Amino acid sequence: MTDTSATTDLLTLIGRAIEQLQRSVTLLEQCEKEGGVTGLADVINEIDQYLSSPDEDPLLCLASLPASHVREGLLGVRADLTSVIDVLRGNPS
Amino acid sequence: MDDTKRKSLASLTSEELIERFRATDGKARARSETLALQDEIVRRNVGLVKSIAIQFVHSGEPLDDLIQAGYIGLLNAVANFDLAKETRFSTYATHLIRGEIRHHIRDRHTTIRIPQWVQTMNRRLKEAEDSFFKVKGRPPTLSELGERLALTPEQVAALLRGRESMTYVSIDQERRASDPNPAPPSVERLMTPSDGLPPDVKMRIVLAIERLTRIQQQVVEGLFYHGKSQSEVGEELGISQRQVSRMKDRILSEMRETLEGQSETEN
Repeated sequence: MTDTSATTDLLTLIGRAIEQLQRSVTLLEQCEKEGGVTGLADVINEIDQYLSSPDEDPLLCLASLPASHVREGLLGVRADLTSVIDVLRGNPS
Repeated sequence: MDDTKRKSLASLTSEELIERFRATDGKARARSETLALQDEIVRRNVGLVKSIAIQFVHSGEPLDDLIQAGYIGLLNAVANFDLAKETRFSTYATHLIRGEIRHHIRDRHTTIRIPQWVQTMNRRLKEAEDSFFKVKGRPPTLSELGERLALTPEQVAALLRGRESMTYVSIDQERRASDPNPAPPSVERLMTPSDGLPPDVKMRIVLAIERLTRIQQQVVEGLFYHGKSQSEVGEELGISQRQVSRMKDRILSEMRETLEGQSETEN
């Protein structure tokens, strides 16, 4: 994923993640498995990075969104992507 | 219309309003009352139309256009609502408003090639939904749709998610102008059969995108519809109200640029 260190708010994270997932799908469809899996792992890493300090995101406060709710949603995404990586690596959960 | 008449209309249920609307519609002498009744029905459902339109804001269509399409659905609901059935008008109207907005989005996105099997899938789903609604006067549950399509509820849910995912877009594209791949393939590609990616894996990624988009939608709705005051946020963050205001303006501006960019691409 490009410039992961610049993630500062939830909208940036989500925008990047969606585009990265689309790119990963393209790579996987072209049978470029390693590149696709790396892209999925990048999304997981960025989610982890965001979840390590969600309190620093001003958007959450501005939108009156509870951090626990966002955390639950992002963990769901993380679980989806982890299961995909497991399948692609031949370790279905 | 005077205040007394307006108050008397306000005391009627939506179903009673429609009954009176139909009784007066087409009668030259009652034209002003017909218009007043129609106005009252529309006024009462403005919130419903907007709340449904907001759910489709990620389609990339301007919100005002989605709301306009929603009003067409509302007027269709007024014209076609069956008073004999024990269905609430709002339930019926929700179905038609949602349908009209979907039609609008589909019409605007005809330049995108949708795979034949996805179109077939969508047509079967829509036919099943519509035929159920005609008979029962309410939208079907996943189980009821599954019975009609010979699918499990889980499979129906997956198909519906796939259909919804065709309208997903990132509102964040303009923020990454330096991105080496600034125009990624649209998510419709996720639904295209491919030898390199098994369908179940593709579906899991679609689910992940769906979750992300839902969070994105909640953030946007929170920012512009249910948020705290800028002063309250500023106090909590330890920044000034002016800084909060600038942050909100920046986000709004980026969203506007993205939507305009998509509109230009389509044109």
